[in-house]
Amino acid sequence: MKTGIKVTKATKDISSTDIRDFILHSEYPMFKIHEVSSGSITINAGESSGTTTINHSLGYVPAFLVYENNSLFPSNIDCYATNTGITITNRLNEPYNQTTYDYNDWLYYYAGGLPDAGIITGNLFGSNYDSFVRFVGININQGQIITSANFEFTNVRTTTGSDIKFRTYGIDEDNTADYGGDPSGRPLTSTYNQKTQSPNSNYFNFSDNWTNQFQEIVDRPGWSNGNAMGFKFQQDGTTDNHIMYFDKGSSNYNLTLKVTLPGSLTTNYKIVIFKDKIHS
Amino acid sequence: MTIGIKVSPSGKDVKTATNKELILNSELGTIKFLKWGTNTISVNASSNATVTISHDAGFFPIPLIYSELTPGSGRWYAKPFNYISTEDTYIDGNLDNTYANTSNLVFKVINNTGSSKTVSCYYYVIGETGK
Repeated sequence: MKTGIKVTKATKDISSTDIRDFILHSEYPMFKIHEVSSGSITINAGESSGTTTINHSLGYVPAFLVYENNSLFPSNIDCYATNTGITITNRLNEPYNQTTYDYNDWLYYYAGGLPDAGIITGNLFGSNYDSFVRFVGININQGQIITSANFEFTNVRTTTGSDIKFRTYGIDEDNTADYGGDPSGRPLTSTYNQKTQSPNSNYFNFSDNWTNQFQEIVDRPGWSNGNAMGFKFQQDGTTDNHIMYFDKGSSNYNLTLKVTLPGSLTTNYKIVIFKDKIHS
Repeated sequence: MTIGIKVSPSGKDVKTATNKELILNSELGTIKFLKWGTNTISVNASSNATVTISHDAGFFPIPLIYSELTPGSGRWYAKPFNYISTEDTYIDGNLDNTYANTSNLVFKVINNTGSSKTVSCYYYVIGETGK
């Protein structure tokens, strides 16, 4: 004779064959709670993921549940158990508090003409080459403190044999107009970066930290949210016939500015760890 | 008079214990496993495999699946229904391919790597209505 124990819900018949009618049935095990823990993940501005691990002492891989803000296993997290802990990773689609702006206008300039080449800066046939980039719709309030503004120019290269020396400035204007004319007279920020790019004939991604120039522009009393902002590459001592350039006729390049504001995102978790083993 | 049963933890008065404190209350359902166990799935390189586990509940139960996406890693994911960059396989999050109906628990394992994988799973079919 098979022995066991069954307890039904109130009003349900003990002879029921529906598992849902029982609160206890010795043929159907139930989770046994080992512990209920809490955890949190903080993702700083500019980062897109964070991880926390809650240790357990079970010595095997247990079943578990993870809640974030009362949601069980929400779609933004993945979580796993090992024989020592539960690890939760929160992944954001975009870096927190960071906006990426694609360039709106790019122009290189040198006194005397505009040859059809993607020269960023340098010196060619005795002429100095500068260039300008412009971003529009900058969603920053006047005077707002930023954490960083990082510029990237993808798929550039240089001539060989000598460094490319230049400065990177901001255009010291409230709302920089496009570069339809000669922009060489545009006022420049007092802050700039002194750059030395070593020769590299292979394609690489040039990056530069423009935080100070960016902050100087948004600190202008006349700056308004949504305005356009410009920057300049200015040749500064490169010897003749050495340039940094890109394939202007192709589409394999891009100029972006990633602006990060201060702050962080903290999410809290409730973790239910069961005694029930899913793996040794 | 309503007849029922309540079980409280040691040191708690069963007459005053809250539902949160009670171990059993015959007015409330509990999480019982209708079916549970391990499953090992072999998935060819750059391919996928569908797993069907029969439960015959007759209602839509609540499933739980834990899977070791990278064989031998010791990491058992509870919510692997999306690609995880640190793992080399994943369970399809498309609800047409991963679901429970009144008779089966079904899920598809996708292997995006260039070599075959043997993915281990542990599943629970919980005997309460999920739909």
